[in-house]
Amino acid sequence: MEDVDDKPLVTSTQRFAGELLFLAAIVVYGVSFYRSMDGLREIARAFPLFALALLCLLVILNLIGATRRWVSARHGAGGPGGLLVGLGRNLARGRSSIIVFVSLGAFTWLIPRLGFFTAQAAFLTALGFGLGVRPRWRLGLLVGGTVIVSYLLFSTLLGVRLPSGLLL
Amino acid sequence: MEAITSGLVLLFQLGPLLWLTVGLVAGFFVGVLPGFAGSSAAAVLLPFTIRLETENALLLLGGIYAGASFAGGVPAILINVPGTGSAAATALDGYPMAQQGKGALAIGLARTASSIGGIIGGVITLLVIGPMAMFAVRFGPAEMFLIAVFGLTIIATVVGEQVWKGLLAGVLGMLIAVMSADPITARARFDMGFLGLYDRVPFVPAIIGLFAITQMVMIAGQGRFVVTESRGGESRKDLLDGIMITLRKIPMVIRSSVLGTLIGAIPGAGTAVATFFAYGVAKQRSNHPETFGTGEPEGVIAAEGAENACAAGTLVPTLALGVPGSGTAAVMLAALYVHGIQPGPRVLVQNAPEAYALLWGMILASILILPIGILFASPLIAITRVPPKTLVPVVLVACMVGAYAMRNSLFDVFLTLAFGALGIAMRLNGYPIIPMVLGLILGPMAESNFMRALMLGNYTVNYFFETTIAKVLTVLLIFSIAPSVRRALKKRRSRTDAATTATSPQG
Repeated sequence: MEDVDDKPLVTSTQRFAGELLFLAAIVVYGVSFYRSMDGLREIARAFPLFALALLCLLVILNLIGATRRWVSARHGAGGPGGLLVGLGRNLARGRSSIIVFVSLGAFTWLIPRLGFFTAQAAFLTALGFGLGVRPRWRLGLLVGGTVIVSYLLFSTLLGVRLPSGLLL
Repeated sequence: MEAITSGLVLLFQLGPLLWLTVGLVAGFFVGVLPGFAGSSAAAVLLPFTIRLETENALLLLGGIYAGASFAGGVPAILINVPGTGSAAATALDGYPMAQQGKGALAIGLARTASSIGGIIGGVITLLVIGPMAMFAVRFGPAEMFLIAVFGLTIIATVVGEQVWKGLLAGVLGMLIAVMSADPITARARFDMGFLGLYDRVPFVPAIIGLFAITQMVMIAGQGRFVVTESRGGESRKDLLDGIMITLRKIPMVIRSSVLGTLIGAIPGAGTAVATFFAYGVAKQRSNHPETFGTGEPEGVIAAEGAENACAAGTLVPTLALGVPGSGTAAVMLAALYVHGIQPGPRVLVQNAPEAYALLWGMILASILILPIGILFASPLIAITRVPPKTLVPVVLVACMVGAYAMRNSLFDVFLTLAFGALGIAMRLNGYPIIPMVLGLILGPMAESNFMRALMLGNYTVNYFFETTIAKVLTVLLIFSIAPSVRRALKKRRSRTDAATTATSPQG
């Protein structure tokens, strides 16, 4: 399922740092979950506590695994590489991914404000332009075609009541 | 026997046949859209079925169920965007096949396995619905909890290279799934002040975010979709090859279908558990397990064979116990109530023609789906030749509508985005997504049964292992983890040995 290309972090130190960050986020989530259960009856806490205990154990095991991989990479051919080596280049390589995610965030934010179809048109225009859909008539076709088809399919045929806003 | 034939007589009339076909075609097209799984389509159409005759309404929904189950594999294979959790198992080998330019072959395999699986599942369900319902009743809370944990471990250990990463993803998924209010006292837990999380973490936004959004972001970054070389002229030949390969592997299809039907008959287990379980069994029994996950046809066959068989199997608890076996089955259960049918053991006596017509309908749908699938395969395969910069925005729009449509909630759209971010973080760090999805599915089932078992057993652990079924499940659980842990340890030892040899002065 996962491709090799999923890993733009090229050096072992970057990978180790990334995994540490991910595991730290899980620990923060787990602690927040645990604290949110203060005052609950024992039965309501039972399963989350069981799952949290398992999660702690697995975080430790994964931390050990990540450290081992990093240490063995340090002793392997080529060395571990620095934390910032090639980071800028890799971020530039992932430019399209960043554009997609940021556009999606903006789309989600715009839906309740502009209405679904207007926000959709803005999203498609920005994303298509950012991803390099050219010439302009092709971009127009992509935006117009998608808005019309989604209106006919979702609103008319499937009866989904999409949010309306400022314009539509 | 008379009841079974009465269903057949009812089915072979113009109205029921027409509605079944309409449902099938609708389900096929809707199932291709990410997030618009059978349950979403059936839920949208439920209000319209009130005006229909009971058997027509049930067959329409049954057709949607079969069509969407079948079609969910198509985007899973072609663009690694499974419309449903169960189709995620198909993506494990289907997508690598598509990447190798064998998308049509994978679809051919999926179609045939799905069709045969549906027929086998339907026939088994038809014949043994009575005894199976009695067996399903014997699964108490302890057994159901063990089923959930077993389902999770078997997936976590077969997906990805590192067992601990898979298990962590699965447990994290379970924990996210139980952020909602606890099922017994209904007290809010970790809802972070969002009303949308009080009930339970909605599954559709989660799966769209984790699979579809993550996949689209990754595809945009890579700048390519699936195939790098055009194989347009060979599509139909590949499809037919897929059919022939599946027919040659008929014992595996039968095994997966039987597993799918049995798991489908367990209330709440659902198609995702069935497909992953069948996939895991196929991998463990294979002579070349290392090829699974890299485009192995047997992986696609096992998953698809189990999926459609499971769709039939889920009707056992739905009809005989009134407990839905899946999301779509839950909508069908609602349709039964709407039409004045009280599900339960007596439904097979009091409403025998309608109940058996539905089961016959599922078998007929599985037969019809093969020609329909082949007919519409070419336009769907053409998806792989559309450049990502054009297709990514379109798929993302469909994803966002799919996330919104289930509950008409903008919160679900935000949740989709959040799960998308989580999926990207997981993939960048090499954590598999599929165990997390399964954890999300199984979390509520595991928790409610864990709580019930604790209360029934007076808060002692012994209760979990008292019955024979529980003991068998525990043994299976241990056996599911042990080989993977042993393999991982062996791999690490050989890596350490290699490193020692490389660094030694003599080496």
